[in-house]
Amino acid sequence: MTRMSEKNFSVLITLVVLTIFWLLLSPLTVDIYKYFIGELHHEEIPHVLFLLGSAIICIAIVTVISHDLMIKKEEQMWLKFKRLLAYIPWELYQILLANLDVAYRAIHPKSFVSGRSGGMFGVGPIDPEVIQFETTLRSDLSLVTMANSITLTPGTITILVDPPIGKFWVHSIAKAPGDALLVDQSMQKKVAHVYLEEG
Amino acid sequence: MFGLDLIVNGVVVALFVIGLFFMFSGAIGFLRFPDFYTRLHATGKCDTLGEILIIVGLIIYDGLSPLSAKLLFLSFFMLLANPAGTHAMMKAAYVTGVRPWKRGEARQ
Repeated sequence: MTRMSEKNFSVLITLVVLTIFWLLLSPLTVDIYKYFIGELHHEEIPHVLFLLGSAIICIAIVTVISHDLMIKKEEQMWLKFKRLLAYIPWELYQILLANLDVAYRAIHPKSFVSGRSGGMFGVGPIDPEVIQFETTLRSDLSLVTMANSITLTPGTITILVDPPIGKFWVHSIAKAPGDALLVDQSMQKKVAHVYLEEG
Repeated sequence: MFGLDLIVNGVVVALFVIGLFFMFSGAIGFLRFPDFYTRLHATGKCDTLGEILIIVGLIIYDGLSPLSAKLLFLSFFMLLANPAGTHAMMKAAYVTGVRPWKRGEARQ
């Protein structure tokens, strides 16, 4: 990978990804499997070969047209990819927490609002606010990851992002989730760590 | 009857029930929360996990097959598309000036 030119690298990656994608989605995979265990009927083979050939041609055409859209070679890409893979389990755990959080707030009896009498919330667990904060993140990919992570973690949803200064507008359903972003900044540090930016 | 089959079916049913619980609480939140933004909190989050849990249940039920691969892709794209859709609606409302509900105000 070290001596490979940028174009060859993206062509190769695109080819491999598209082929795996096709193999996973195509019913022909079953036929190919049958051929190797010797169960495929002889009359079917020309048909399978025709479909296989057209698939290879299609993959080749798509690769030539769109390999530069699919992937760009970046510095230390492998390290970023590994760190992203380590980040995903934490994110999945956060999604679970977020759902339990919303479910709790939705079902909590104190958040009942009597419809017509212009109801008040009493001491229910909802106290929405819009917060703003700036981050040190600058690249597109890290900002997208951060915005999606905010939306998926408990109690907060991204409203707007201003890329040049890394500023986020976030709607928070109560005080605590917003403070976690403003004061703690653990998520921002995690995303900066993944994309090798200054936290 | 007893054995692996029973365990697999039990896990699948458990995943379905948990997924349905999250979908259900999302629907309750959608009806009870006071304004546009808080309602999006309910639908945007609970739907993601509820749908993914149900899909994971289907994957386990079907075992290792081409259908499972397709379902796995479906859950992956849902994980990407759901926050993006929620964010798009949030932004549209905020830019056109829908005022966020504050504690103590009447329900919208």
